Amino acid sequence: MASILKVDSIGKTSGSTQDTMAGLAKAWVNFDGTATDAAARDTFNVSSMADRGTGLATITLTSAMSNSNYAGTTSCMGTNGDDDGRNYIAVAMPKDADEVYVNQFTTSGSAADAGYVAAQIMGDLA
Amino acid sequence: MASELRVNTLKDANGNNSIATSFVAAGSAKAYGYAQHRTSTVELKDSFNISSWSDDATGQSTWNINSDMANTTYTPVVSSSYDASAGGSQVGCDEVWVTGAGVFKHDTFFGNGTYYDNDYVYAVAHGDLA
Repeated sequence: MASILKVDSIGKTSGSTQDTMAGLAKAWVNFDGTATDAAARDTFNVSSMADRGTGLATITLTSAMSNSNYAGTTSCMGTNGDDDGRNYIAVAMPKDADEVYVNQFTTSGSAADAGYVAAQIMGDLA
Repeated sequence: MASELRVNTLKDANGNNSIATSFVAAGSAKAYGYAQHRTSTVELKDSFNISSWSDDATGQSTWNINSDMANTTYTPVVSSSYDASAGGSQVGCDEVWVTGAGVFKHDTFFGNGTYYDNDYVYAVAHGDLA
């Protein structure tokens, strides 16, 4: 039987409480931007990945966000596991409620596929 | 006494804003930390589930997770800033990569590739715990 717990906040037995729902990441993904269709290594709430061109990936969410004003954060490396890369940047931005653009480029500003990209999405689900 | 609450869905007290408990488990940050890397007091200033943070060299550091992740495909994200002066921050970049279920590394560097240290280094890791 499905069960539902109705609460506004959750906290420990002492100290402050917090808005648990708002503070949760609604999606995250670790993917290879150099692979066909920006292959995901591990995900949560991601239904698919797409490659829109050099340095351009799209994340499609399984459960959509409530609007396109959510927040995306990223970190990346040009080559996965390279401990001395120092030449890549990635940004994540909402395209719409269920799609996120992740653009990758070199520190000189050229579009480039990154071998390791980690992205996290925060906001409200629909 | 330890307590265990088993539910499928969370809602607010008015019965709105439903969210599956799968989002609670998978969407919760498994580790975070704030490290000061630039000034004379180089230290981990605040953290959750971080056993240690090490200053490896200029612009290079290692984050060690206390309770390991389940694999090496989790998603650490790090942002950093040179100092607190408005408009005075250096233009720089961050790179992050995973080296183990309980370890990830972080570099800060200028656009030309030169390593430098930042005062404000913030890390968050999502994924599945072991």
